Amino acid sequence: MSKDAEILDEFTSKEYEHGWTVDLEADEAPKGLNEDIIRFISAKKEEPEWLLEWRLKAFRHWQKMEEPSWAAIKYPKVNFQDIIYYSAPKKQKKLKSLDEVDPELRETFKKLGISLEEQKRLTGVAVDAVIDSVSVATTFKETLAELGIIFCSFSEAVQDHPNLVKKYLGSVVPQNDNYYAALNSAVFSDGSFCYIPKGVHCPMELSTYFRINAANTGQFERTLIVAEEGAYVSYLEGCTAPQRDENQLHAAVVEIYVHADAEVKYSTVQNWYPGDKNGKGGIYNFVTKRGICAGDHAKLSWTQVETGSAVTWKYPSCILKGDYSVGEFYSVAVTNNYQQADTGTKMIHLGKGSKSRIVSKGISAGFSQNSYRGLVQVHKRSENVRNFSQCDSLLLGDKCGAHTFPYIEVDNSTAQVEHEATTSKIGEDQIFYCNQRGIDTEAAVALIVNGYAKEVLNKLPMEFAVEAQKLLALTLEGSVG
Amino acid sequence: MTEVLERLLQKPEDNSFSSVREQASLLIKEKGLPDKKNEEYKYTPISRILEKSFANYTGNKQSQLDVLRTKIPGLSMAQMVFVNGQFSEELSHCPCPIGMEVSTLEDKNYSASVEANADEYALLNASNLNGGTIITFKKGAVIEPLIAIVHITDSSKNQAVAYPRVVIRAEENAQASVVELFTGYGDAASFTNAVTEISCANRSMLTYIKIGNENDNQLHVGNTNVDVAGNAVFTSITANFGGQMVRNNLRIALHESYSEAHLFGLYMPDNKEHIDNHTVVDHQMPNCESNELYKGILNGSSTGVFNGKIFVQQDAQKTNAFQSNKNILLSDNAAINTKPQLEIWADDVKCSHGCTTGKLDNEQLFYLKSRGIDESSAKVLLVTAFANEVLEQIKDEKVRVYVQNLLHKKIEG
Repeated sequence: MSKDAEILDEFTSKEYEHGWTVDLEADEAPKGLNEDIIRFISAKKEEPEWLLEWRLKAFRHWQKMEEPSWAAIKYPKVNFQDIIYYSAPKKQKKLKSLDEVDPELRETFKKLGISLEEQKRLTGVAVDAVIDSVSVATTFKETLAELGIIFCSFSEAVQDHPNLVKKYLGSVVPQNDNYYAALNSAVFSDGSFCYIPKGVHCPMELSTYFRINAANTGQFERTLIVAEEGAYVSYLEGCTAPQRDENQLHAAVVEIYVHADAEVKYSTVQNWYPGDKNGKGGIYNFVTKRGICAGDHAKLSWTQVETGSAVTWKYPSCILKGDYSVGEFYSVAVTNNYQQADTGTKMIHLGKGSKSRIVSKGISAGFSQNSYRGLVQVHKRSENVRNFSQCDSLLLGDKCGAHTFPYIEVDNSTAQVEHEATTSKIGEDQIFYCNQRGIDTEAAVALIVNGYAKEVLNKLPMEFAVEAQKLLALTLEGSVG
Repeated sequence: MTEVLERLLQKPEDNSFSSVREQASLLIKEKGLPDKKNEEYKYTPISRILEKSFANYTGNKQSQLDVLRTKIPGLSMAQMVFVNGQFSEELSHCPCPIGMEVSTLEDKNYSASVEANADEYALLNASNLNGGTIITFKKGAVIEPLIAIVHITDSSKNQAVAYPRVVIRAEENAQASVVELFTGYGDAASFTNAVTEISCANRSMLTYIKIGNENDNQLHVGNTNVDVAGNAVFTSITANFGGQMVRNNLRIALHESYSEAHLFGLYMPDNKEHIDNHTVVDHQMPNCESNELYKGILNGSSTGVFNGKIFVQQDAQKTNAFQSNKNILLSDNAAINTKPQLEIWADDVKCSHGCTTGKLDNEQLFYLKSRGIDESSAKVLLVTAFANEVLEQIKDEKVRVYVQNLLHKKIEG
């Protein structure tokens, strides 16, 4: 009997004990979470036994953990037993032409300046053969394969490169790291895996966009990026187009392992459905993102533009273990209406001469709350550490809030750590100056906000930056006046 | 933890504060002393140390005032002296200036406010409330001399615990300065749990200086709560030069328009000392201003903690709030945990905070050395200059010189 069959066997016999049946042929697991569901997910995905064990261990940790309540966010408690933890990727209904797409969505696309072809792809309109995105993706895949770069879905990686996955999975974010990471480790559905071999400079921006089958990775996404010695990769996640999803809870995990002299640049644009103007609905985005600069002179850079989600809870972090390693964090978080964002970073300095830089720009409008929460930690043996943090907040309207919670822990006298933060609103003189030159107030706010966020937007890949700029303006639409 | 709490809660005797004491002790028993999991006390495990040092505590012993009189420097300049939390008439000499009134809490029918969300140690103080002093600066009075209060915790015979409570009220248009000096005598462990309540009425100007010069067997938790009314200006200067573990909670509420608060702080722990400053400036009304500057010089294997919160409530438009925290680590084993925190719910504000941590600038040291100043003198020079930005805020020369002497002793020792 093969291992998989063994698992299935064990699983089916076990479930009988509890008087609970699952049709293995079913596309969906029943609601709720228990060990059987995890066995079901694992069996469905034909995973090796060690991975099942790994998931179960995470689940057992999760059961003992409590939902964190320290963040400055308020939301009704999530009922974890009311979630379907596995459903087969649904085939999107193919539309014949763009005319069938929701006009509101098309209007948004137009404002974002997304090309017609891309619009079709995003909305699921059948794309004509010549510029089939799939074929584009295939060409890319070939180029990457020539260089030895592995870029595939997580499930594929588990099948094709089990040793790599086994080695690095959980090496940066252990199963018991935090409540949501433990949940993700237990039930993660799919995600991306990326491996850059020694000395390879990845010639293009790797983006989930180009990866086929990536469209529906589900609510518990898991990403693992490994850069071997001297490798370089720039990785892009998300897109500016608004994303609607029926799953309310998203708990993703991103792990990045950077070896000596390697560099990873990770950019995110997050635009999940933020709920309506009254704060109804919207997605809860509870993400654990962490990378380790394991070798000397390694570099990891996070850039994020957060505009969506009803609740965001996200702290992309860098463990700077290697000597002279570098961590960077650039963030723009925009909240409007009743959105809440509690986001920031952690820079853990372990290596000698490690450097980090934090630039966080928060923009709050409407009734939203926007918090920066960060940690800069310098350990005793890490000499000559340098950190600079800047977190600015911009308030549009008198009903919103901006908060800063920086933790700075320095255990070594040679460290030079600086932190500065400001909070203010857009000056009336600035608006007046624009008005005077024929720019209406809304456009003026967009202009000023973009100038304010420029330092971060500049770090995004070029075509992305253009879209992100428009996205900022769009998110803040209607917040003036 | 509950065991030490029982020991620290004195048996309530019948006095005019019985109901407050009872209320507070119920609350503190329910909440318990804060442990490491309490975000406010994350870096300051004072409850744990209390537990260790006061496991056998049975009550204070009578002090020998004559000994204290000769042993505590600077006592002669004090108007009011408290020994182990109790006002000592023998050691005090209060020729009250005109416009100032000193009375006991009982005389004024004082009732301590006991709130469930208060700091645990403030509740502990209220549970042991047994007298205290109210100083009132009368309407329009301008008091020239600085009013000095000295608190001595005497642990020469046995472990000692003190719960001093001082209430300072500045009435309308009054102007005055008060200094509170906390010091100790004796080798056994001692714990000072002080509460100071300050209120500044309209257009008053009050300067409050808190100096901590405690031994390395002394634990200290001080809660200072300040209410500032319209157009009033409150200035606080906190200087700490030691103690096994010191925690200062300073909470300032600007609850009427056009009020101002200026906060300055200096902390200089050495050896294994630990000094923690938590400040809160709560802007509740429009057009208020606050300025905060805290500086730390850390030597030996000492730890410093700074947590500065600025709240700007929704009504507090046109607020200016600035905060800065600067630290110098003189030794490789010293550590600093700092958390400058802004929470802002109003939009028409100008707020900023900054914080830096580093060692002495090598270039500055080199500059001085190249001019023939030896390394240790150069260091003293730079550290003094760094500290003086805070100390020169003390306008009274006697106190400033006293504090500068403490500083020099600390650097050279």
